[in-house]
Amino acid sequence: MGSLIRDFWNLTQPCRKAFVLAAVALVAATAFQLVLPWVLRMAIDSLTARTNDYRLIIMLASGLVGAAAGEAIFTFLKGKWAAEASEGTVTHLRNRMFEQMVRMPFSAHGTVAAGDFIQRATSDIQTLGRFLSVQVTEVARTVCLLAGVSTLMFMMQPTLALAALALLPPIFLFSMVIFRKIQKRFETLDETEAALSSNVQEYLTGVRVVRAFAREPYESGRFRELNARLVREDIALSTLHAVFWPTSDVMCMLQAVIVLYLGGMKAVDGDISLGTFVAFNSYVMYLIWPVRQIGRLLGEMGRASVSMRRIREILDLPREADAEGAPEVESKRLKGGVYFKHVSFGFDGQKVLHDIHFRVRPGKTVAILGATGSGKTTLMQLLLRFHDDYSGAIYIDDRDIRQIPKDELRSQIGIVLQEAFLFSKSIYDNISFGVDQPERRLIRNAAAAAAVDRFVSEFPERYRTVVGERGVTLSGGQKQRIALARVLVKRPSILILDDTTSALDTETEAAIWSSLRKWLSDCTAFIITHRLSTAAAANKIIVLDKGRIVQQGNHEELIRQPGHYRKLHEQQWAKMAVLDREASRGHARRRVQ
Amino acid sequence: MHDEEFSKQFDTSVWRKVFRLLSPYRWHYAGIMTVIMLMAGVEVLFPLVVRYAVDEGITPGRRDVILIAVFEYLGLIIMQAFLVASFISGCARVGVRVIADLRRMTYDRLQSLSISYFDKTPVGWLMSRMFSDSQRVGDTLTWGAVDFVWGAVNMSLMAVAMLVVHWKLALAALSLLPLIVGISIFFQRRILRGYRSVRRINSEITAGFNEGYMGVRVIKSLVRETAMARDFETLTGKMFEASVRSAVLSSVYLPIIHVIGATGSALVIAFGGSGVIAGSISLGTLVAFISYTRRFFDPANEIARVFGQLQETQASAERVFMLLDAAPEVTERPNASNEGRIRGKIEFRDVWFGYDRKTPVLRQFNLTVDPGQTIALVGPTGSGKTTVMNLLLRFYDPTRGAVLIDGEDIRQWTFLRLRSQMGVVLQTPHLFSGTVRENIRYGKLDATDDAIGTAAKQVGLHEFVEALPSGYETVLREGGEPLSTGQKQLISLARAVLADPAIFIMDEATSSVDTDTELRIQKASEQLLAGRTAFIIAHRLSTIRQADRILVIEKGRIAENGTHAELMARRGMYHQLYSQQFMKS
Ligand SMILES: Nc1ncnc2c1ncn2[C@@H]1O[C@H](COP(=O)(O)OP(=O)(O)OP(=O)(O)O)[C@@H](O)[C@H]1O
Ligand SMILES: Nc1ncnc2c1ncn2[C@@H]1O[C@H](COP(=O)(O)OP(=O)(O)OP(=O)(O)O)[C@@H](O)[C@H]1O
Ligand SMILES: [Mg+2]
Ligand SMILES: [Mg+2]
Repeated sequence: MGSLIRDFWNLTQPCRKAFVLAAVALVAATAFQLVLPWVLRMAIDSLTARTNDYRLIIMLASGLVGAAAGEAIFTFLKGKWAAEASEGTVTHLRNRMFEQMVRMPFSAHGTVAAGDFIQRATSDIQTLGRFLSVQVTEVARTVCLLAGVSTLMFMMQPTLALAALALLPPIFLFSMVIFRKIQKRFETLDETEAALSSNVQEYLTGVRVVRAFAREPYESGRFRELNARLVREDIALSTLHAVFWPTSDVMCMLQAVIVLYLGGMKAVDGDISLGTFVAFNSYVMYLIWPVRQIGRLLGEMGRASVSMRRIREILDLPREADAEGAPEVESKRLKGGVYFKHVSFGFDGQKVLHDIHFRVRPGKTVAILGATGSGKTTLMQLLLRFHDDYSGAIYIDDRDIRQIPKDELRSQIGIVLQEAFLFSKSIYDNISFGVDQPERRLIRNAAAAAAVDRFVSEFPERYRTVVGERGVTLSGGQKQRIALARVLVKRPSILILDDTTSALDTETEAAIWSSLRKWLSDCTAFIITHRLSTAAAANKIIVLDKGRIVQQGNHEELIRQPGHYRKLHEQQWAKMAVLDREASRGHARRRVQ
Repeated sequence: MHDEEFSKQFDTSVWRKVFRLLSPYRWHYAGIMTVIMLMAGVEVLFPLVVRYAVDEGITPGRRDVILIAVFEYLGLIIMQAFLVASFISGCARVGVRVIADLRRMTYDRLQSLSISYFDKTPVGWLMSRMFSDSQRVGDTLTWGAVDFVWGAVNMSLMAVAMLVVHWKLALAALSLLPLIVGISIFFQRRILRGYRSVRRINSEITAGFNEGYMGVRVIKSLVRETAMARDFETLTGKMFEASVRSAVLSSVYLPIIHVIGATGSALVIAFGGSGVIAGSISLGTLVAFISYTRRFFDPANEIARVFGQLQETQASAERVFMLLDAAPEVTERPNASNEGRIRGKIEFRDVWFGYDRKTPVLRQFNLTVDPGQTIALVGPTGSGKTTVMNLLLRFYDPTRGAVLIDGEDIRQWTFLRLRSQMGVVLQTPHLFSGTVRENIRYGKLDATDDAIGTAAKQVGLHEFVEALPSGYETVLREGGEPLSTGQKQLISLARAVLADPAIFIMDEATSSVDTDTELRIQKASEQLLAGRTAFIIAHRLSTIRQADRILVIEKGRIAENGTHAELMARRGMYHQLYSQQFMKS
């Protein structure tokens, strides 16, 4: 509880002034609100006293309107300031969540599933916002009312005041207890709802797989089960509501009846005036409903604290550490010499890379070969400082990359990721995603170099064609080429292609290579590939196996040594040679015929 | 295309459909409405009891009357409590069921809609149809209708009660009623419009988080963090303004209504006061009137709120019905045949197809495959290889021509018959969240663990899975993270192998797998592909070496067709592709 309050206190930091103003306005509004029954009381008393003072009555009637107007003005101010305060806090929180999302290290992304994160960033923040704008002010208002009303009541008639407050504690307790229960039900309900929506979400993103395997009945079964469970839980929850509201209604009204009865008796006895009787009735009404609400609000506070915790968990995740204590070097274009010095790395205890050691001179092309899962992608991620907790060191142009600010480093290294992700925007916007002020010509040129224009020219809307979510309306090779163009636009000093041509035919690939050579004449390139023809053209080939470098050198060197590379080569050639023999035989046969 | 652009007019046909949703629960609903009317009636009696207590009890000083009044009051309270209990549980039951019905109906519709629909429609859009729009329709049908009926009955009964008790004073009090209703409607309209824009921005924010999270690798590698955060701040800034504006609007509205209510009380005091002085109005009547003027506000507010929501609900309902009415492009015939093992003869007969009508992707595509053959599809990217497979799977129907299996048009078959005998590896592998084992098992739900192990071994996946700390129980996130791309491809290949299909489709199934593993798969595939018809799409030509026949697809047509030897001899496109890949080194 204490830590919760502290969290909230810290949260409201940027908007504290508005919060204070709202609180002041709230007190003023409550004060005016309390005047109303008082005026009523005076009016009725003057009527019963039969003073027949018509002027007084008119005065009181206008006093009534005046008090209501005063209350209105301050309620308005309270509403405005409270909204500014709570919305300001929420806005601040949203921005922080977003910052956190893009600044978290990759490893942190692994710990939170996408759906879960989105949930926290949207509905949990909303819950907090509601808590701040509704619950906090309601509780504050009820406390003010309670203080004001009981003072006034005791001033009018102490015994009746006691009687009028008698049932409030049990009402409060009752609603607290029930709302605790309701809260629990709510949480299970929330979970079921989340399960149902992620079930549907996964169904929709994987719909092609579902269809391809004809798994509709299976999926439908799971959906129906969850849907029915949600109905059951919803009904169970509403049963609690159906018990709570009328029961607490009865209790609240009982309180009103007590006042009615005792007040009536006292009025008959002449202990209190009729006006006081009416005023008491109004004041009691001021209290009983809010007190019932407060139990509910306190119950819901549990919800807010859960949300708070879930948001905290994200915000407390580390951000990507930047180059701390790095010497100030003015940022200039990297030349692109890369040196991996005895680098080892693993994910939570599982070693993925072992003692990686190699050097690349600026402007050279390096091909990386290796079995699936041998750590090629991971190796390149280290160069971009996606993970920093490796042993050994990596240098670019003789600077330890941990000393180079991440933004600077990454803005000069262009990586085309293995799985092309496109945003559902136009092709043009996708290509220009990486730069602030896209230059039309540059983008056209990059698109041409990546052979994007070859297919875009056949689309009716050309570069304005909007691609489907994740690029679903494009062919595999088209996606890869757009992702490549997107990186070329940045004119990087080091280019990394992670299996970028796997969905390209060799002809298109060859066209791309020849234009790339012009585009990036002075750029160091790392090319991860499974195609030996691609690797053979590189200045240097690195062969990885189970996270170790088993061979490095150029094609001529490697083909001469016995080893992995030669084996791969022979495998391909041996089989192909058989086919080729058959082919030439066929050729010959045809010539004979 | 999909959003908020709906008619502002009240559309009776939509509402007729909405109310039809209630037909399974109509007796329940009628019951709830009766209860609500009773409740509204009971509510009106309370001030009358107070009046009785004042006039007959307090003023003449009769304690017994006060006691009677108190018992009457108690009786009303208990009655009210029962009414409230039955209305809450009744309303919740009907509401929850209607919403669940709508969710189920939309889900069933999604099940029957074709892939082309999902190409065009964002997942988020479908999700909000299914969840928030259904919710809103259900809520308005139950809680909204109940609030409306309660407000209307309550208000009219109050007016009647006042008119009966003292019609002149009643007219004075009621004179403010049109004002309250007018102002309520005025404000509620605007408040709801405000909410609408808040909600719209909110869904943009959700989408922002969503795309940001999915594309975080791209964002990071292109150093777009700051730019994205800046854009996002503009969005949240808009959100701030819109929500403060709508909050300010509500905080103007409620106080104004309160002031009008107080003016009503003041009027009653001013007029009634002189009446009391003149002796024409009893004090009790005055007290009852004051209490009525303050109760007016509630029902008026409720009515205005529901009224304002109607437009919103109508838009929601239109969107839900638009989804429910969406016609699947690819449908099962009613008398489609459900039985029969596929032997594996496949024929594309004069097939034309395009994703949109204007640009044909396949043009007069003809192909015949004998049972048991392995066919390789190669060709430039974007030439239509995946499209051919999409047609065989009946993800789409050809615009002209037909696809036949074993001599029968596949449009004569049920989807289940067609697809349950196919093993498919899609070009973009999609894995579900869950364990590795569950993902493989998706190919055949009743497969034993042994069978799963065997399938994994056949595709060279087993060793790697065994090396994982939790083996086959390793939990993957949606999309198969954190495995490497090749590993994901192997899992989706194992999934297809497990399905034990008559027709195998591998669309770039091993494009990110190393040649060594690939070779092992090829060795296993002699046995794997025995007795099955298979299609292998690959750019890496080493992948297709065991094919019986190679088709070169170019611009949606078969440019070349034959064995490796024949095509090499032709020295055409294939020869060129091949030599680029192998001759250089
Ligand atoms: N769902 C879709 N909606 C609209 N157009 C599409 C869709 N899928 C593919 N296309 C278009 O149809 C053409 C053929 O695409 P297809 O996916 O069949 O090519 P492919 O031969 O498989 O290419 P790749 O080798 O790159 O995978 C492309 O121009 C592509 O943009
Ligand atoms: N975030 C992670 N957490 C845990 N393990 C991981 C993570 N990322 C990768 N791995 C594991 O590390 C190993 C190396 O993965 P990596 O993606 O580098 O392989 P790769 O050589 O690129 O393979 P491919 O050719 O299939 O793309 C794999 O076994 C993979 O499962
Ligand atoms: Mg990889
Ligand atoms: Mg394809």
